[in-house]
Amino acid sequence: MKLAKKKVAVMTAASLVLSSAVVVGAVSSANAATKVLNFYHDKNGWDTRFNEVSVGLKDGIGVTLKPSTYADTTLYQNTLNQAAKTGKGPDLLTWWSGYRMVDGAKGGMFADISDVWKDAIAKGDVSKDLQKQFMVGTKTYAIPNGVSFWPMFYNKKKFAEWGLTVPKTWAEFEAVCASIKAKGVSPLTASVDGAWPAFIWFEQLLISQDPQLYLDLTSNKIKYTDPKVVAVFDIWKKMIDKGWFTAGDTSFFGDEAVKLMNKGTMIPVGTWNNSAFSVTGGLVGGKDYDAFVIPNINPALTTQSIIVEAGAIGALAKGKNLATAKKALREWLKFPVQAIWADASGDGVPNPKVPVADPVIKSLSKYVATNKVNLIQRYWESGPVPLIEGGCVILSAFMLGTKTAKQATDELAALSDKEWAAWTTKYGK
Amino acid sequence: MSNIVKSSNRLRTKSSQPIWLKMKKDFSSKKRKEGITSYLFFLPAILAVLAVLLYPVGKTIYLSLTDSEGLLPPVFIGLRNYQNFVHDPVLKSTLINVLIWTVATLVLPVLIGLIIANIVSGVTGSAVYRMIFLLPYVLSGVAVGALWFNIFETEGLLNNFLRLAGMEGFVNSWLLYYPQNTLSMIIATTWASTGLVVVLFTVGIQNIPLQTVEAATIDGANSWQLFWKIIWPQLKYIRAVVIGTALANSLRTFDIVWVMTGGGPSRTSETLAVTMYRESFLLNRYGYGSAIAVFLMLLVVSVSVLSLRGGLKKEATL
Repeated sequence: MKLAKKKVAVMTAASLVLSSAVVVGAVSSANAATKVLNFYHDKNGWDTRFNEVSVGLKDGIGVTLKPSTYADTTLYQNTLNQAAKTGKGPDLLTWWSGYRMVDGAKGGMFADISDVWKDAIAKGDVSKDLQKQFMVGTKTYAIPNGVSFWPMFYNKKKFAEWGLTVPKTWAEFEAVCASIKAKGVSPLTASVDGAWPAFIWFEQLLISQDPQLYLDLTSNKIKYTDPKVVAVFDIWKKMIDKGWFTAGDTSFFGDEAVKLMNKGTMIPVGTWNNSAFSVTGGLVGGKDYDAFVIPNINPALTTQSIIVEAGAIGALAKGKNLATAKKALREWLKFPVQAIWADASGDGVPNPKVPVADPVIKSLSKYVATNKVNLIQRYWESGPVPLIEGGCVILSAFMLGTKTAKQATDELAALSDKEWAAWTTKYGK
Repeated sequence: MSNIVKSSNRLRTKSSQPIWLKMKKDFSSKKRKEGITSYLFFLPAILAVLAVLLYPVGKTIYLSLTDSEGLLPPVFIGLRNYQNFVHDPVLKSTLINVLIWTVATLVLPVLIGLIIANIVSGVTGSAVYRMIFLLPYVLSGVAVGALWFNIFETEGLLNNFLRLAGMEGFVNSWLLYYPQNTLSMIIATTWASTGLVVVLFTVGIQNIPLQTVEAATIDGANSWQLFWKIIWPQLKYIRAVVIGTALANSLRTFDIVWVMTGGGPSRTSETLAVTMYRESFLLNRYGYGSAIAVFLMLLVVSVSVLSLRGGLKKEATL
């Protein structure tokens, strides 16, 4: 498992992918008969997008998708675990990259689609570096379902109204937060709702302080009790004490995200949530709202860092339409379908030939490419699942003040030792 | 007389046994055949019960003795999951939560339901009142959870109401801290489950013979004596069912907790069922989750049996 070692290199390719504006069209010829592929996912409200992809696939290879949404992610994962054994269920499915793919790959859930990648890389439809996020050992098991940055979304009109500008340094960032707080608005979104959002500020503060520290921590090279890690908790605690974060049960999706944005609260979230502002909220990107890369805490750092998330789409290994499913995955990476996805999702796509249309994503991608911003893999995909899930529980307690920084880091260190040992026993180093 | 004896002896000689015994055997044989036939009719239902109930139970017990994680073949590890469960640091807080849930959801819905049943059973249009109180019960646990989450969340209806009413001091993060998150969810559960208790107790009260109440009234019993000496003892079966059901439901509380807090924050509001779900389906530790499921099943079955047997037996002596 070499995912953790190569996160920065892996993500550099994604930067190029997102910032590219070169358009080279290539339309596949349609097959005679239309075949329907069952497609399971847990992305609420994304059926419309997938239906648009389906049209693209039909035009290209005569294959359509029949999307099925699972509102509950846990139920979704369990359903897919059962489907992996029986082969009954989807032909295609969404999943998560990095460590979250390993169980499914080793357990025979995902089909090996290395040949799909080989052809796509050869045709310039996807970067070879991006492939590493979807590899377990020497085989590749999924294609990217979009590539999302995790910037800070903010209300551009409110900023202008309050006389604020996008912060370039940590001091400026703190001044912006203090100013918004003085207006009676929580400056920053934070949440422990469902536990997982607790990692957002943890990873963000770590990479803003020292990206290498984050990489060493997530690859188990240093302990959570390392003084440098504890120092980041201290910075976090000061922000909490200043009352800069929203209540712990805040939701920041759909309508809730729009409400927060309209109040002037800044929202650190993946660009996959961009459509909540532009589509659900009817806000105009670049005019009503925008996004920026969060400044470094450590002024000695010469480059900024940003979290990048790449969702996965794989084929069920025992699926009855495996050959067609693999064909669809190859088509999915080609220009016509990628262009459809970019338009439908308002987010970045892995195919470098597809221009970025959304003004917020386009501007962000340009900034990332121009300033050679480090692209860092998300915490969620950066370690064994029980460690990440259990870690979020401990981080939640810290955020709510029911655990001190010392208690939290001690517990995280103990959990990390336990789960990495279990991982090594199960899969080796 | 002698003919009869002769005749009787002849019959006895031919069959070598008294005729009444033969008749009894014939009858028994017929009964047996009928019994076997009736069992054949039961067979599909019995097989369905075995398949739907006993097979999953057996499979869960088997999985609890393995390291099953879903995809890879499970390996038998004996009682290790049970040993880990006993030493799990979350076990203590989970059991305390289960105890709080059990006591609170036993006392609140049963007590409130009994009071309401007493009030509405004697008034005109009691059926309408019963229907109103029953409405929350027909909602799914998920719907109830979502509804009450909107009330109790920090920016929710309750806090907004308190702010409007000038009671800022009472504004609270109801679902974010222990034990107020558990207590908030108990309020939601009480709201949802009291309706059924009202209906059951109302039915029980309406089935009490009027003569017993009239006789007590003529004898000068006051309202309290009427309730305690006449009505309460005659609600024995209904009461046993209500308490048994409330106990079982409280021990396996899941949906409202999962929707409102997910067992959090920091696992502070987890119940046994939530812990079982988290381990099985969130962390894919099916073996460990199955061990918790077996423990929970034994707890629910034994408490329910003891409650029902104790309740019915005790009341039967009244």
